[in-house]
Order: sequence, then C-alpha cells, then structure tokens
Amino acid sequence: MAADALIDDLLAALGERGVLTSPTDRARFETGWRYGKGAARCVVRPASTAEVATALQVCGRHGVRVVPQGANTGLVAASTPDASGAMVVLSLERLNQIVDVDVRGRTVRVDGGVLLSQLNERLAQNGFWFPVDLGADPQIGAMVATNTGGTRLLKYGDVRHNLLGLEVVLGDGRVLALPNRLRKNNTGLDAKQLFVGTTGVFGVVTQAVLQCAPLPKQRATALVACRDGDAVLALLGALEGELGDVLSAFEVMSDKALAAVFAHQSNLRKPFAELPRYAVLVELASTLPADALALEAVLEARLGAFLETAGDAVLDVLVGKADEFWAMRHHISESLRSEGRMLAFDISVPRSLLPRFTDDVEALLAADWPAVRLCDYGHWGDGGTHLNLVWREDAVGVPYADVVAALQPRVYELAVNGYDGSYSAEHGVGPHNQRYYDAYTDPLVKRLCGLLGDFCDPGDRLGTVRLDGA
Amino acid sequence: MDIVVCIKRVPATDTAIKIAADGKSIETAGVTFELNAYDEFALEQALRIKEQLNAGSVTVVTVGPKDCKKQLDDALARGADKAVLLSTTDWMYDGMQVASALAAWIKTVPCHLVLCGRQAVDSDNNQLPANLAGRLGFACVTEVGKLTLADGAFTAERDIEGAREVVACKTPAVISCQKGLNEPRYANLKGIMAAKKKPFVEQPAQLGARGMEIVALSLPAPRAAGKIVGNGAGAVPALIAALRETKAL
Ligand SMILES: Cc1cc2nc3c(=O)[nH]c(=O)nc-3n(C[C@H](O)[C@H](O)[C@H](O)COP(=O)(O)OP(=O)(O)OC[C@H]3O[C@@H](n4cnc5c(N)ncnc54)[C@H](O)[C@@H]3O)c2cc1C
Ligand SMILES: Cc1cc2nc3c(=O)[nH]c(=O)nc-3n(C[C@H](O)[C@H](O)[C@H](O)COP(=O)(O)OP(=O)(O)OC[C@H]3O[C@@H](n4cnc5c(N)ncnc54)[C@H](O)[C@@H]3O)c2cc1C
Repeated sequence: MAADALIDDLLAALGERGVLTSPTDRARFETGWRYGKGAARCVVRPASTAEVATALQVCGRHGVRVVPQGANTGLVAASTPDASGAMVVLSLERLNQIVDVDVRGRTVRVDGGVLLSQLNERLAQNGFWFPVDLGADPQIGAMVATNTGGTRLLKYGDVRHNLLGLEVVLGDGRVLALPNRLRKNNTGLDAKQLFVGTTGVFGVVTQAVLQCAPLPKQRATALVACRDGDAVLALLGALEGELGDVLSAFEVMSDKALAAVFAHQSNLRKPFAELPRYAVLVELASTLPADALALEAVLEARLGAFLETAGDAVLDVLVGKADEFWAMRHHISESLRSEGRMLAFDISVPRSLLPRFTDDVEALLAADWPAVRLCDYGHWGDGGTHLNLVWREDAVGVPYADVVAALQPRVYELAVNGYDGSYSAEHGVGPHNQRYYDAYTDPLVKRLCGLLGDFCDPGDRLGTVRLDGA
Repeated sequence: MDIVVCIKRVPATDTAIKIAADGKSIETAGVTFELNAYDEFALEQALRIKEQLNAGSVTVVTVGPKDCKKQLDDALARGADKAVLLSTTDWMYDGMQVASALAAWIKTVPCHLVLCGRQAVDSDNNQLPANLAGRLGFACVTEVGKLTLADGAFTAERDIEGAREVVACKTPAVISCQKGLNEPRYANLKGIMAAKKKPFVEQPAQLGARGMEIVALSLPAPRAAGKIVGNGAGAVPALIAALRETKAL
C-alpha cells in the first residue's frame, strides 16, 4: 500500500487493532443496512474516550472528515462514508463497557458502543430493561444521535425521554462531560439535548447515563382485524381510555404489508382467512404479577366488549401467540424488499389524520403510478407510519431513480405541508433525506445549527449530514 | 363422523430443560407449556373434516395433570365441541400406559376416527397411535402429510424413504398427523368466549400397567466453545486449516 501519513499517525496513536485499512476489513463499515454505500480511507476503532479524542485530533490535523458509526443499522445513509474514499469511519464498537448500574436509582452508565441487546442482558440481572425497543440491535451512542423511537414509544417514550447524562467528544477532541444522573436538574441549558437526534454532527457520544424501567412481569398480546383506518383509531381511543396504564404497543400492519410477509416467510401462518385492511398488534404490559392481575383476561374482556359495540368495524380478534404476532411485524421490512423495488418513508402526521393521509397517498399512486403498491405499517399510536412503496421494475417501466425522483418529493410535500407532518419521524437525518431537511427546516434553526457547529466542531469535520443548510 | 383428537401438553420447544432432583424427570417449575405442535395439525384436520361433512363432532382428549386445561380450552376455542381431561398426577411418557387409558375411555363414546400428532415432542416415543389402534381394533395410518375424504373413505399420503406413498383407509381408524398436513388456525376471541360454554369433562384416567419406565435422564454434553482463528482476510488460511482439522473440508 502507498504510504499514507494519516494512517501512520492513527496507527501510532491507536495501535493495530484500532485502525483497519484492508478492503475486506473495511467492507462491513462501508455499506449501510438499507441505503448508503461508499468507500472509507480507513476505519478507526478507538477503545476509550481519550482514544476517540486523539483520533479526532489526528484526523483534524490531516483535514479529513470523520463519520461516527454505531451498529450501522440506521436507515438514512448517515453512518457510511461517501464514494470519495476520503472519509474516515469512526466505529464505537470497541468502546463497549457497561460502566455501572445504580440499582436503587434505576439508572445505568454505559459506553457509547454498547449494544442495546448487551445492555438489556445486563439489566435483566436486576429486573430492569432499557425500554426503547426495535427490530434492530443498535448501539447506545447512535441511539442518542438518532433519538430512536421504536415499538414501545407509546408507553416509555423515545431515547430523549430516558436520557439523563452524556459524555461527548467534540469535533476538535475536547471532551464535554455531562455525567448527570439526576431525574431533575433545572439549572439552565440542558446541553445534552444538543446531541440527541442531531446525527453525530456536533460530537461523538462516548458515554450515556440512562434511566431504565422495571421489566414487566407479564404481557398480553392480541391481533385485531380492523375494517379501515377509522376503525383503528376508534380501537386506539378505546384502549387508551380503558387500558391506558398498561397499553405498551399498538402496531398497525396493512393487508399488503402482511401479504408480503406470508408470501416470503413460510414458517409464519396467516392469522385470518382473509387479510383485513389493517391488523393491529395490541400489547399490554404490567409489572404486576399474574396472580395480582389477570392481564390476558382483562385484554380479552375489553376487546370482547369493543367487538360487540364496534359493529363491522372490527372483523376478528386473536389473543395470545405473542411471538408469532411480533414475528409478523418484524418480518415486514425484509419481506417487502423481496417483493421487488422499494422506497421507504418514515413519516409521522397528527395521528388523527393518519387514515386521511394514507388515503391521499393511495389516490396519488392510483392516478399516476398504478403499478406502485402502498404497503404501509407502523407505530400508529405515535402517529408514525412506515409508508413503504413497492413495485416490480418491469411493471413500472422506468428506472428506480426516476420513480424515486417523481414520488419522494410529492409524498414528503403532502406529509409536511398538507398534513403538518414530519418527513422523518424516527430515523433521523442523513444523505437519504438531506434535500428535504434543507427544504423544510426553518432558516433560523439552520443558522442556529451553524453557530452550534462552529462551537462544537470548529474544523467542520464530523458527519455526513449538514444541519446548517450550507 | 365423530372424531376424537388426542392432544398432549409439552414444554415449549425453546425451554432450557433442567433435570429434577429424582434424576428421572424434568424440572417443571418455570417451564412454559404449549400444545404439541403435531397435535395442532390433528386438531385442524378434525375441524376441517367436520366442516366438510357439515356434521359430526370433534372431541379433544388428553391424559395428564389438571394444568392441561389451558391446552384443552385452546382447542375448544379453535372449534372443538367437547374436551375431556383424563386426569393423572404425573407427567405421562409411557405410550402403552397412555394408550390403555385412552382406549378405555374411547370405548365408552361414539368414535369413528381418532387423530393424533405423529409424536409428542417431549417424550418422542412415537408409539401411541399404533398402540391405541391395536387396542381399539382400528386401522392405523401414521405420519400422514395429506388426507382427503370422499364417499366415506380416506386417502392418505405419507412420505417414506425416497418416495410418497398413497394409501386408502376406511373407518374406524387412527391416523397420526405429520407437519405439512394443513395450516392450523388460531383461536379467535369469539371462539374463546364460546369455549367457556362448551362441555368440559374431567375424570380420573384408568391407567393400565406400565410397559416401560424411565430409570435415568441426563443432559447432552455441552457443546464445545467456538474458536476465533483470526480476523480479516489474513485469517483465511488458518480457517481452512482449522476446518480441515475437524474434517469439515
Ligand atoms: C430492522 C430495523 C428496524 C428498525 N426499527 C426502528 C424503529 O422502530 N425505530 C427507530 O427509531 N429506528 C429503527 N431503526 C433504525 C435504526 O436502528 C436506529 O436509527 C438506530 O438508532 C441506529 O443505531 P446504529 O447503532 O445502527 O447507528 P448507525 O446506523 O451506525 O448510525 C446512525 C447515526 O448515528 C451516528 N452515530 C453513530 N454512533 C454515534 C456516536 N457514538 N456518537 C455520535 N453519533 C453517532 C452516525 O454517524 C449516524 O448518523 C430500524 C432499523 C432496522 C434495520
Ligand atoms: C406553593 C408553591 C408550590 C410550588 N411547587 C412546585 C413544584 O412542585 N414543582 C416545581 O417545579 N415548582 C414549584 N413551584 C415553583 C413555581 O410555581 C414554578 O417554578 C412555576 O413554573 C413558576 O410559574 P409562574 O407563572 O409563577 O412564573 P414566575 O414566577 O412569574 O416566573 C418564573 C420565571 O419565568 C420567567 N417567565 C415568566 N413568564 C415568562 C414568559 N412568558 N416567557 C419567558 N419567561 C417567562 C420569569 O422571568 C422568571 O424567570 C411552587 C411554587 C409555589 C409558590
């Protein structure tokens, strides 16, 4: 390999294990889970906060851009380098210690590279968990950077709700320590919030203090077949009114999304003879033991009563079989990818408007893109919908990029300006949606981000996204 | 056609089995039980036959402890007409003894067809259907992957070594059901409500003599830990050498 002074300096600072240069070693850091494929000059894997700082300083001296990377499961292409081959990937995977668990305080301090699964395995020993729950296994630092939502947001909130403290290495290597583990601390600016959901452009999260939740002692799960979106909202209202204390998930799956699951997952069986327009996965969770509260019986009774009053808005209700219902939910994304080409949207609108918004998207497709199918599903309880469009290339007749160029702006415009919605409900900002960030973000917010960037990352070294509109 | 479906409650297949202090049985504390997966095919087939004929009855029966009520209730919710718990105090594994209890009871009720799973996934004995058929003097077809009923006679298909065998069979018969026979339905809420009003009979099992006895149980030796031979492309020769060593290559 040609002499590369940057790599020599990084090797001197981090050692052999800390720097990966060969194409095979780099490969898994260069391709994102859904979008994003590039080439890195090298991958650095610091094993301590001090090494993160050193790596950033070395990269700064050499004038290279650094992309922080967690488990690389992000869905907006933000964690992978561009095609230039000039960027350095900074992976947190070796910074992966659970520093301490405060059992009485019900808080935990972890390194930024700890995996969610690893954290939950440790917390289970004390009867706790970190309740931001999703179908991927991300790192905690990256969860802060993307403010991950997930399937239990309805009950426990997103990362922001459960974050108490942070340690962040700023772009030039300064370490900002905010080791707060207090639940209340109203002493001016809550600076950690600057790093939540800002995709790593202001600093690299090397440690986080999290509030954890007691593990539920029991869950009860049902699958409810609903005639249409209005029936789904009626069900949500009824459940929140009567079972709001224990309602922990409300996941909606459309007939077309589920049809793909049963076409591609031979081990899963169809729950209903005919798939309804929407099937809703309802989950209750409680820390009360089964002998104090018969949760499944409660769910059965309330759903039974709802079924009686709902007329033909609710077609069928299945209770039990939690593993199978969740398997259906978690296999949607990969099943849709097996159907052909896919364009994914992670949208939220005020949840009362979800049925109307979805109808509008269907109408738009029917009029101009009849071969493109809407296979929607999502966290309706939080107003979120994964509005995935799927098509067979031969049926549409134009290249993938042309479909995206035609449809993406129209759907986002409808969501943001037609429905007061968001073009990225929980996946954050990245090259995949940078254009829309630029179009829809208030100019004052962009200027504020520019000022924050000047302070936090004076050399402008961090990340693949620009929040300052430049 | 009056159909009896024999079902068994078994530990969930992802249970980490622990052996009890007696060294002969498994520790049941903390274990989640479920309906034996093959019995789900048997139940589903019974319901389909009844739906096809638009007549007859489906009765589910189990020989086991009182806790089996949950699995019987589930079968009622899916559409069985009646449930019978032939109660015992112990976990049942001896096919001969269970068959004796089932045969004694089946002889007291109208029955043209008995459907069973191909085997219970806990004791894995695969002997109950044949033993039961022998006691009842019924025909027996085992491990059936496809079953059709026309003009009162069954045509059953079974996978045998290297071939598919088609057999014809008349009632009365015992048929054991293999994976692939059908896709079992879920119990829905209306079914669960309706099940609460269906007949549920509990009576002590008339167990015959034991044919066999478990004298010891042991866990398989733990699997050897994995080995990391190296990292990246440079480790490929070491990986090939390691695979050769284990004769995998
Ligand atoms: C199957 C599947 C299901 C998913 N479901 C959900 C869901 O329900 N809800 C949801 O919100 N998301 C979901 N996601 C998206 C994704 O898992 C989350 O965005 C997750 O938080 C990303 O974590 P990661 O470790 O993979 O980060 P990466 O993809 O590696 O990085 C994400 C972003 O964070 C930055 N970053 C990484 N580490 C750090 C750090 N230490 N400091 C600063 N910045 C950093 C990166 O530069 C990038 O901008 C899903 C993804 C998949 C593949
Ligand atoms: C009996 C009692 C019990 C209390 N219990 C609690 C408690 O349990 N928890 C708790 O958190 N607090 C408590 N407090 C404190 C107090 O009630 C809260 O801080 C409350 O939020 C202050 O609201 P206020 O309208 O009285 O504001 P003020 O006292 O009028 O103002 C508070 C601050 O806000 C600024 N401010 C006021 N209006 C605006 C505005 N529109 N825009 C920008 N700045 C503004 C003022 O300049 C000042 O700095 C209690 C107070 C009392 C007297």
